[in-house]
Amino acid sequence: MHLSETRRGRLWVWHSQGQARAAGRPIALLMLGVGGALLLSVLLAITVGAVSLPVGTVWHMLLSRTPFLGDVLGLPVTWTPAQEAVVLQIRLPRILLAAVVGGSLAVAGATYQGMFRNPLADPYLIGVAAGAGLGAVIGFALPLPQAWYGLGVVQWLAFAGATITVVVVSLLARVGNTTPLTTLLLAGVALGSFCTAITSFVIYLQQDKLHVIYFWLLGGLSLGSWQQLGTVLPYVLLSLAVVLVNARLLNVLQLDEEQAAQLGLNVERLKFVLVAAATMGTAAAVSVSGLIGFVGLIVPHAVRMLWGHDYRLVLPLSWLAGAIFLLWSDTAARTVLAPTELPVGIVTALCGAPFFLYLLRQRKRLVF
Amino acid sequence: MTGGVLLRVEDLRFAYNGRPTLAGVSLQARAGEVVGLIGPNGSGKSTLLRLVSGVLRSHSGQVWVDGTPLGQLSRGELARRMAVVPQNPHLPEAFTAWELVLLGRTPHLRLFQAEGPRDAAVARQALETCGVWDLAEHRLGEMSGGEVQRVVIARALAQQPSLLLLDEPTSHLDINQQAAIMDIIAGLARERGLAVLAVFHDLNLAAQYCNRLIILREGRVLVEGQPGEVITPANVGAAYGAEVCVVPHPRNSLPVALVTGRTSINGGD
Repeated sequence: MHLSETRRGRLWVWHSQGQARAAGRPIALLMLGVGGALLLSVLLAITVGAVSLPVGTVWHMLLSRTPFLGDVLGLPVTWTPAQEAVVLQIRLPRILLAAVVGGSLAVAGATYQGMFRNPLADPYLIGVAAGAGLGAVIGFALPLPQAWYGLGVVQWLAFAGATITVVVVSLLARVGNTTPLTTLLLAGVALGSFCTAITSFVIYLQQDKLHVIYFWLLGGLSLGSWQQLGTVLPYVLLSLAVVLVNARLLNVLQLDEEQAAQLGLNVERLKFVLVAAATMGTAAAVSVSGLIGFVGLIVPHAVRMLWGHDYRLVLPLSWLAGAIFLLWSDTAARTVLAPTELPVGIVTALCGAPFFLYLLRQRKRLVF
Repeated sequence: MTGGVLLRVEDLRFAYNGRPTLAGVSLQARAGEVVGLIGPNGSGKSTLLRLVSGVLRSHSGQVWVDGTPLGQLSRGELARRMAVVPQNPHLPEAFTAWELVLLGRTPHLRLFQAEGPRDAAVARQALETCGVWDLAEHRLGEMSGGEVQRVVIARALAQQPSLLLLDEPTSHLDINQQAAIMDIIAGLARERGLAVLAVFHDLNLAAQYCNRLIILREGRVLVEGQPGEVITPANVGAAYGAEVCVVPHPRNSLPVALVTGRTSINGGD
């Protein structure tokens, strides 16, 4: 038993022995592999759609529109402007938006699961969903102007509803100088129910808009545009960056709070930062996609089952895996019954649940 | 045998919801000594540890850690000087012993810094000191209580503290494991010069291994001194309400208290 001269992972983890583990030097490869899978998914998904186009044509189209590279290659244009619009203005932004939303939900879910040390936690745990739903429904009900800064009024109100709800929940959950996690959870559930009740009431009053509202609540990415992507991207990236910076501390939080404090952590500040970041990412995602379930719950678990519980791995891999998962779910949602669209939440649950159960049976050892 | 004062507590007071649990406690722990804190349930032992470790804020009184007032130390600075082994800590079962012990390096790492070779060396040494290096790659959920307790002590050592606090480190362990844990703790004080302050339930175990004992009763120090001075029928009776006879241990003459009855019902729990 020699000390880890068998050094695994320059950046991440030192292992005591040279036994093969998911963590270690292959981490760089793992990240590259999963990142590559995401890139490949984008390139494949863009060739699939209601308007059928040859795969080669689609990629030529992408290459010719890539800054610099397109000019250098000077590929012949063998497609119509309409086809180009389908690929570059409809499919590509939608695919990228699906990836960004999926990644954000998964990483927020992983963060909450880690913070609450509860495997059932998801990004909607402390009121984001109920708040966003209420905001969106008010947006549908009120006769307000249609768009501000790339997002419709519904989206802005959903974002605001989600954020305000979590802020109120956090304030309500404060006991003295601390915010006990149990109190946070209970306040989230209680305020969430309250928001949901108002939402139901508004829907009840607005029965003519029932269909639209129902579809929004189910979640979907059919309205995805470059503008939406550009508007949510800063929030999503900031949220991701903040969570990643704190990944190692999230490992420490897997002990209880008292131990974490005795190991030198400022636990209250850490909790605040994590809730703020996860909420911002989720709220941004929800504002453009509605309430897509399941991604934030199962993707982090799948990642843990495959690659272990170190949050320095779980968080970035959850982002990538969530992006891939939602990207393909949305591709299925828009193609399976084309030209009709399925709500993507149905796809995520239909595909995700069996896969998750399969993993659960395969790896019965402790991972959480 | 003992060195400088690493922990000094002066007139510490604390109340939970207006009910005083500590009513003015003063004590100190020096480098190289094991100080045992004993007393009936609710006498304030655990509260004292939580105040000293900075988890609770005292209502009044002062705590100095290695000469610095507790309030002037950041959490990180405190965690580099003082490590705590809690009673029944929540531990993630999926973690390996190695991963848990590396968490002990937290106060020595900056935000973006990952564990390096130095941290690995410290962690390994901590596991070896506690005799659990062989279990490094085992998951906590697959270990016995005694093994887990050693790993938790190893995590505390990985903090490289000069002061070690333990809350009933041998509860729920069989007598052999109790002795093993106590040997480790006594060795740390004797050989590494750590100051150890530990809460005990078992008077006899405390008397065997501690250099000094302090009996707390109703938030006050009832008596303090060497085991032979502290473990007397009068003191134990006053603290616990139990009637005991005290006999010398056949091997080392340290006091052993044997319960013979109860003198009152207000002492114990």
